[in-house]
Amino acid sequence: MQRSEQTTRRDFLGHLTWGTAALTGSVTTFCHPQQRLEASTKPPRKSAILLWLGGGPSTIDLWDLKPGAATSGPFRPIGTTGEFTICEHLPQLASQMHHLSVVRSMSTKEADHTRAQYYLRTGHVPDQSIQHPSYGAVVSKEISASRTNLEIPPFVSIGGGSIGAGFLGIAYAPFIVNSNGNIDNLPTTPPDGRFRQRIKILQSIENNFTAKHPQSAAEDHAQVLQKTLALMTTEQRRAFRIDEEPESVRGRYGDTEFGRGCVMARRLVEAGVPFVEVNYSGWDNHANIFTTLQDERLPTLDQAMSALVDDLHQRGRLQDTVVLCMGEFGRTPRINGNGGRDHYARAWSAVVGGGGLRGGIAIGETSADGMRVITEPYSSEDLMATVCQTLGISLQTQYTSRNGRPMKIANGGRVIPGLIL
Amino acid sequence: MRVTTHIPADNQGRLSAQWAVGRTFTPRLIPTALFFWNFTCFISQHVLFFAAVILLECLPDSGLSAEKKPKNFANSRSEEDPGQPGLREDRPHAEATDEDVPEAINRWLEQAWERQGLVPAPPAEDAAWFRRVFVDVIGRIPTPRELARFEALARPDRRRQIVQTLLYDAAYENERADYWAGVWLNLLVGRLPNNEGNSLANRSALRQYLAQAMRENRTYDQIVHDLIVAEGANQPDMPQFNGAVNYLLAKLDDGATLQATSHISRLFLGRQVQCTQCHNHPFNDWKQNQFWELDAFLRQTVALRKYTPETNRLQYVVLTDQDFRGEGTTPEQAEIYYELRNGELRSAYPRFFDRPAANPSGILSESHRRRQFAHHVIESELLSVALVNRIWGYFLGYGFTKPIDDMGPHNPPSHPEILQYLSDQFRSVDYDLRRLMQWILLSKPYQISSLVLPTNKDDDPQTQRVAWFSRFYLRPMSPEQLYPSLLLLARSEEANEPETFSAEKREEAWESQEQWMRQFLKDMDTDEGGETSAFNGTISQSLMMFHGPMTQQAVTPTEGSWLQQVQQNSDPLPIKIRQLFLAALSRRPSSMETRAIQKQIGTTEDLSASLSDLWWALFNSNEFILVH
Repeated sequence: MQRSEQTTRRDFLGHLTWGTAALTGSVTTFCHPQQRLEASTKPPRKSAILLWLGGGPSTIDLWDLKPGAATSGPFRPIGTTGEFTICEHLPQLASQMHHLSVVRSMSTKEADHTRAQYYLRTGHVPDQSIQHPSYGAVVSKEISASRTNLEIPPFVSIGGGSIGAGFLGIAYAPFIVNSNGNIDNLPTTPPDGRFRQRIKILQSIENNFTAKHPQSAAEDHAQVLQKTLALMTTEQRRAFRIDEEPESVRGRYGDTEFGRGCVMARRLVEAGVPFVEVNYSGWDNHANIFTTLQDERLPTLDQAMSALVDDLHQRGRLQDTVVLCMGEFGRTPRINGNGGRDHYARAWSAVVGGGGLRGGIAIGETSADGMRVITEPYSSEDLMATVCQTLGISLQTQYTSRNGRPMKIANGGRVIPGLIL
Repeated sequence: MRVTTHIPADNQGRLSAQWAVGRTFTPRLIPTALFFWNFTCFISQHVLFFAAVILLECLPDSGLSAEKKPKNFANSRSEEDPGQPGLREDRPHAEATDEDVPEAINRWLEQAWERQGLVPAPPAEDAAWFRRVFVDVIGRIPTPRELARFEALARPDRRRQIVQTLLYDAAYENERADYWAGVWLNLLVGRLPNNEGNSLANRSALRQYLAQAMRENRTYDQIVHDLIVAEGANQPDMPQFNGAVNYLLAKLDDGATLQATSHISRLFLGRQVQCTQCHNHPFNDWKQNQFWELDAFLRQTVALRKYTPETNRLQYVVLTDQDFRGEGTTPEQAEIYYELRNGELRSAYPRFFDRPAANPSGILSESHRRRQFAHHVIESELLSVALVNRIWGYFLGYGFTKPIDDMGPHNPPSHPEILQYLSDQFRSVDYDLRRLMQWILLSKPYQISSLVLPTNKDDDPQTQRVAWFSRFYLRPMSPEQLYPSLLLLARSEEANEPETFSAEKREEAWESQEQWMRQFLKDMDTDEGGETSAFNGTISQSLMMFHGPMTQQAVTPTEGSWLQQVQQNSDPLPIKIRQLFLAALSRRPSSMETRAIQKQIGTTEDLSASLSDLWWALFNSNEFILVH
């Protein structure tokens, strides 16, 4: 007689003991299918979605326009449902801005993509002796501890291009997927007896090697196998399947990679994933910035981001879900000879809302030409501290890196006043 | 000051006789290795033509000698460069032989171990070492037959013979050249395919140039020179085709040269100057003007787009140089402008760090800036220092600095003596890449095992700034190593005979490797050309190894495949198990392992299926996927 899928699964994962004792914790975590059934009855849970505009969006053209200034581009500001104006080419977002706020006084020091991306995603400047964990790793570590019924990776990066988990270890590394919802090489049916036999043999070969190489890439490999097996056997992976979403819903987000990514982000958050990134690159517009923005980037961003915020709100999830939209820096107020703008970190904007944060307000102010922040400046650390705080993560949380260095969460950033209710 | 050439003809001949002549096998991994034959003649014509032009025309007006390489490197560095403190002292002046170099490395390393209280891991077992050196030098695991040949060699000199065979034997030439062409291709233009973003570069044409350069064993300074001065058409079959132009074409962004400047500096000189584009370096005394003075060397360089007349579609691109009028008014003093942080505008003329300024004229016949730039680069001592650091890091997992390409006073090297010594030796053998590799491959840190022991566990470069090399650090195979190794396990031996591979077939094979790789890549689409890979140590990779098409192929016994041979031979089970271990992990199972596996699979009805399960488990294991 056929055993039920759940029993099979429990047997399958339950018999695995990979490497050292450190791993047995995660084995038990992944081995309680009965808890999965309780998922829907649990109270709403907090999550965060990072909409990453890779390359550095021209925030002076999106969120902090300077009409009349010499540095102004051709775009005009329009009113929103919040207390501030945004770009005229973001009309659908304008009607959602009561949910979101804009921090116009971001001021950072890194203007090189690689360094700045690291800084904005970790709250730390790059340091050769240590790999800092990214936002996603920190949030998923803090939140997934209490989310034992989560069987898919707690940190999902849609469309690639993330920073990893650093010293927090591979268990919190981003699971990178395409926005099409198909996970490459993931079988549609649960593992059969043959596969279990293979895994048992593999396990005996692995453990032998791992024993000789403690604290190394060999152990990491075992952990990844563990997570892969969990993903292969859980129903929760349906959260990746955006084709299960009604056509009408997908249509609202737009038939773009970013739009599909936003649909998936909403599904993942509903499944309990603590941190999801949707990557939208192509904002490094050193030339012909205004046509690129008007014809391609802004319509895509407008449709997908407004649909996401509205959809989360309609489903009652926006109160628990932080939505953060930014890139690694802004762009120069000065327009260069190629009709583009270059990297600019000294004064730029980020948009954030949901998860209990106050919406509809503009924090801070830049000078009339957009060159300087003229109010209290905020850093990557400050933004991260604010997001962590509203997610219920204590800012006193401290990690110890593998070389013994204490690290405060969000690197000691200050909560941005006014954003938290 | 020449290092004596160490491989006398007779010695090499002996090796060849032993290893190549009369071989009944051929390297099994052909696809990546075989694809360049038919371009050889074509490229060599053009490459040699350009090289000749370059050598003849180099720097007619700069007052510098037109020689390929300056004789006196000590002068070329002089006091101007505070970049490598302490590196100029204690230069070895005695002649060094190929034996001397590894010994010198060992001495310095041992001193450092002693200071740090570290006892290095014991020597790696020969089988493990053999696998390591195959993967590192030709980019794939060894076959059981190669392993058997290795074991038949006399023990005391075995490792040296293997290194020489892999580096010098004609039997491995294609695999070696194509593998290293791939390594350099990734360093030069990344892994992403052509024409993602706005790049004008033809990645595959650049690979052709590199494979040819590797096959000819062009010296490193020649290759760097070729890449920087390259002129001609980017597409094969076009007039004046020169694959090397695709390096700079990949870095030129709508005529902007900043990316090219930063990349040349970072890759070839180990200096990250990109942040000095906007301000002086925060941690050392590199100044903003130096960036723009370097950049000024590239301002005559242009990419000319050629269109088909009928359809008006872009057909190919020609990289060449033209008179540069400058951003001011006088072409004889063609300056460029840059902005200080306070908004003040400054002008810059071509000048290589603190070397004397070049002729500021923008007129090509008066001052050919790009050629002068190339000359300065290959003349700079930084060239060999940066390369030694990179090659050391390639073979040993970590360089003398972290990261490998950010050297300078803000980031002092962990073993300055070794770095300086190897750089001096590398220059003294005229930038012969294989000699450098040979020295490193035969030095002690490459011989020891990857075992983590109480005496060396504190040496952990993952958490510390410095690597002490007291064990061989585990690292995952790169995709370029994994793909051919997997293919090796999936194919029949006959299918791997190089004779059966036409040039088209080799090109196809390379295309399928590229295709396979694409699933893991994501373009970050920034002006630094960033890309991220979802390859190493990820769930995606595990899923691919569990269920991917190559895995399906490998566990499906096909005519003549290793798996099928083992399934069908009449050997007893323990021997079959050993055969599979040897093929996948290049070692014999321990008796405990054999017993355990026998227990797991010996009782099943379908032994063939069980053997294929074992096969699956072997190449999914950490031991397979890690270089150790």
